[in-house]
Amino acid sequence: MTLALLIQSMVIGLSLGSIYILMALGLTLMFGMMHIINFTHGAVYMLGAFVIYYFFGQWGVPYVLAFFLAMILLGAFGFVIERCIYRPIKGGIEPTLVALIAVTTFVQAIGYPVFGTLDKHVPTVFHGMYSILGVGISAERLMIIPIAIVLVLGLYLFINKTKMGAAMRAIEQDKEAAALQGVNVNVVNALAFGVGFALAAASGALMAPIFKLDPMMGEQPLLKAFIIIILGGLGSIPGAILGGLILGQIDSIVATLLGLEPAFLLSFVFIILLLLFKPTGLFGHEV
Amino acid sequence: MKSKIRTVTLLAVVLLALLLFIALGGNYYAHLLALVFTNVILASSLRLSILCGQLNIGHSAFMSVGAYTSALLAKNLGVPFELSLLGGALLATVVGIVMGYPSLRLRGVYFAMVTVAFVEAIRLIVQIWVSLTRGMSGLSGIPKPSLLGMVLTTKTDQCYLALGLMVVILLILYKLEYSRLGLIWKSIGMADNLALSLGVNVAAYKLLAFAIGCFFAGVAGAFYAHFVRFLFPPTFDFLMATNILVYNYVGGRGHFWGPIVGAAFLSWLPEIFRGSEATRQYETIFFAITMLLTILFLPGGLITLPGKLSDLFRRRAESVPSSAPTVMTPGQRVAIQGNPKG
Amino acid sequence: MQRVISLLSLMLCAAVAITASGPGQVNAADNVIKFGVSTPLSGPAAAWGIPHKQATELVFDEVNSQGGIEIGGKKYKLEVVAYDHKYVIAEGVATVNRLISKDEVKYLSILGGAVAKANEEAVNEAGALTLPLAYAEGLVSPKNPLIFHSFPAPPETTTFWKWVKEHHPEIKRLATISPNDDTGWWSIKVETQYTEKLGYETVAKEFFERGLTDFNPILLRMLAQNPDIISVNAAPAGSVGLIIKQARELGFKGRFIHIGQVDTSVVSGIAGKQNIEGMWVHGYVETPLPEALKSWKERYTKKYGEWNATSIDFANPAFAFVAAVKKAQSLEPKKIAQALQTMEFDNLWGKAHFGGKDYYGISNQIIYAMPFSEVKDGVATMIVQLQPPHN
Repeated sequence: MTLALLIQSMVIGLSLGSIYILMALGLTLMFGMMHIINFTHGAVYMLGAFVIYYFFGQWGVPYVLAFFLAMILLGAFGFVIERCIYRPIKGGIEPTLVALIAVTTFVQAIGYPVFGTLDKHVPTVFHGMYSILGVGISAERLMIIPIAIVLVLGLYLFINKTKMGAAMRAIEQDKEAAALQGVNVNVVNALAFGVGFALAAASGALMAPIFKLDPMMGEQPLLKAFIIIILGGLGSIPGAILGGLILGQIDSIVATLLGLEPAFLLSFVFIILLLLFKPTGLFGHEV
Repeated sequence: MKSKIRTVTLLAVVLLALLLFIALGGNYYAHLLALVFTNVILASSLRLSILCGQLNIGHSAFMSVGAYTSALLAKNLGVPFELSLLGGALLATVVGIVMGYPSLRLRGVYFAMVTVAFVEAIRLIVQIWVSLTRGMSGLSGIPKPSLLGMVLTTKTDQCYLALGLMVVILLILYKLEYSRLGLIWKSIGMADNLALSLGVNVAAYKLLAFAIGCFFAGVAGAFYAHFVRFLFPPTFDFLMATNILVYNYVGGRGHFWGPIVGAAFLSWLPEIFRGSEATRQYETIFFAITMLLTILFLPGGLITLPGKLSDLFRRRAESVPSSAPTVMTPGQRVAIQGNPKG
Repeated sequence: MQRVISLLSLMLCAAVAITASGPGQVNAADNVIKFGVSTPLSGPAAAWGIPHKQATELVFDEVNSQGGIEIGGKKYKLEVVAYDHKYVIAEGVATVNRLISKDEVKYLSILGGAVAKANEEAVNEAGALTLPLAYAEGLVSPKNPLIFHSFPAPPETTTFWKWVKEHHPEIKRLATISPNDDTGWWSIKVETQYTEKLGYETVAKEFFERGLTDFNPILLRMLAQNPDIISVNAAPAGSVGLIIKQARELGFKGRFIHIGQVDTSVVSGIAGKQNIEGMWVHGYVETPLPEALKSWKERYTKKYGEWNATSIDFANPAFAFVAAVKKAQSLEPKKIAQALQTMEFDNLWGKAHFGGKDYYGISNQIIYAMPFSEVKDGVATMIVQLQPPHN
């Protein structure tokens, strides 16, 4: 592999990494605050993209408006799931897991009759091409980086500088103590679901013009996000960022060198080793 | 004692009914039942991990190892079925121990994540190792199962084999669960720190449960390989592993019969949806709804259904409002519900 | 414990009762010919499965509306019994098992290479006539006398490369990318053999897992070899769209070619109209649309509401079956198979027959003048119809 190819590969890896970070944000929040592996993350990502397809792609709503609509609608969906599924099950990890799997299966299956069977697309929002260190990168991919930064900052501020965020952190540390302090656990849980879903929808909405839309499009992002939060550590935002960047480089450089399957195998082996020797990931803390 | 005789008689009746069903049902039912029995084996063998409180979403990986090992031994080396089945199960156990041993320190979600990573890693290895497994082309030409040299050519015969395997494995698992070993596992599942403080070698027992589970998953895999006779790596994926877990939870986590009921119910359900004109287009959707409703309304699993139904009838029978207080203490509730084992 | 057992037994009885009363029994009328379809009706491959089922139903509906098929003086109606296999092997095997053992169909069509292979022995043992839509090496062979592949496969469609060589001699370096499964492997293997004989140099071969959306890493590797043309054989429309879009972003200026079959309108939407200019495809024509196709498109859209161009070729099994039953004047799979091997029939592209004995060893591959198009201004425009290299 020539040096030029390696550098180009790293640039691609950065582009991939930024996409992955975005995909991981919603999952990090829910994992960190509620210790739930949100299996519906992929399905919500897909729904966010389809909101863009209908509102922006078909009905002419301006993209920015449609983007916020996607976050709001799916945040509301998060409230619904918390109220109707998470709360009645009283938070047992395994039944919640099964229930979320059922919801995902349902949403993905219903996508085919409702959205149709052909792959869909959404018109490009940010036009233009740039050449970075010899690699052609489209403007829409580059835009992921600033938007991801904004969302990451927003999430960070929310968790660390707002009252609600403080409440979430309190519950994560010790649910009973927080309740004794007057924190309304149900409301905060609902909020965690809402924000987590909204973030998943946001990443789907951003990816919609870059890739294509189909009801199963959330599967890959779920898997990638999953790998990233393990790499980065439970609930750690810096961890998600670093994890995303690392995975982006693995998926790019190793794939260009050896092919895709070996690259994927490597990332799983990496996770296994990490889990065995430092389960809390790069930045996570003990649960 | 009387209750035990009744139980055994009931079981014998069910077994007889199954045998009759297989004998008369023809290829269609033989095929379905054989797969149901395989799923029961998978779900019940996973239960051992669940007893120990481990969230194990990796069972399909060991099924895969068992399947491919047995298939390759039989196809490429002419090993007779009984031995290739054993070989598959043993290799699955070895792989399970190799992977399980370092992972046992992990708890809860972390353990779950490592099992998922195992499933994907094994799937990818099988896919990449094309020269051995034919990778994504699929491994075909797997010989049919045979016993003592006699090939089981018909689906019906193969179904009897599956039934036999299932019954033997369930007996073993039952004995294990209701033995001292089972008690130790359950104590680990409920409070492993406490068990540890009492001198129980928690890690060793967890590994034992995991390894035995892998062995039977390997058996199920080997049978599957010689029954369907076509192996395709994505078959043994994360989705299948979660399905096996779902069988346990929908059936009921608290009882030995839970995975059996869950596996039987959820294996048969798609076939019912497939049969009805109305639901055929939307099989997957109905399946997901059924899963969801069961989790929401029967949190203890399907196993609790008879209990709840009889409660319902009992409450109807007591039409006279009782003088009991409306807020009951736990002690009172247990007393009213009677013997929870039914 | 006893309650549990009674619960189990009750469930078993209920399940049996419900399963046994499926539609299989209802239509035991003996003037109905049941044709089985095992195809992905949900999941990612639904884009193929649904037109497969719907095209078959449309053809049968039209035959039925004219009174059905007459065999020995008796009129028979055609009925489709379709099941969803979701492209999961176990379901593929279960659906075919149901079709053969419960619904007692003797003729069926299976979609999907891996699923068809998984069922190879089952359909042979049952003596069922199968008209699959499946790329799988070894599927068409003398050991499968009752399997008639109903879609042009790589050995047939690669003949287009001769046309490319004649009309575009400037193209010399060829890169291929396809899904990482048997369909992809076989397509690439056959294509590479053929093109290397013609003098093309294969500079890169890439495989991707289905479901991949970011092809940049492997495209980077491929484009470092400076190909003149990229063959996206066997890839579904969505993936093709992404591959083209990302390759163009990385600076690739050459042409694309897909001799499997792909809906270029979907590709155009995802990749951008200007990016697919000059692309060559097999099996998809938007203009000029022959009369037969215009009419089919109208009838299909009228019945199903959404047009799907894949239905054109996926109607082949239905057309072949109807014509063969008429000719054989029999309901026996073996006799219908004989008819299939010796007759000509019409499909939507013209005259077709089953042949390929020289290549496969048995005349069980569908042969007809395959349409090839070039995308001009975003529209797939037919440029030539070619017969396969073997008859």
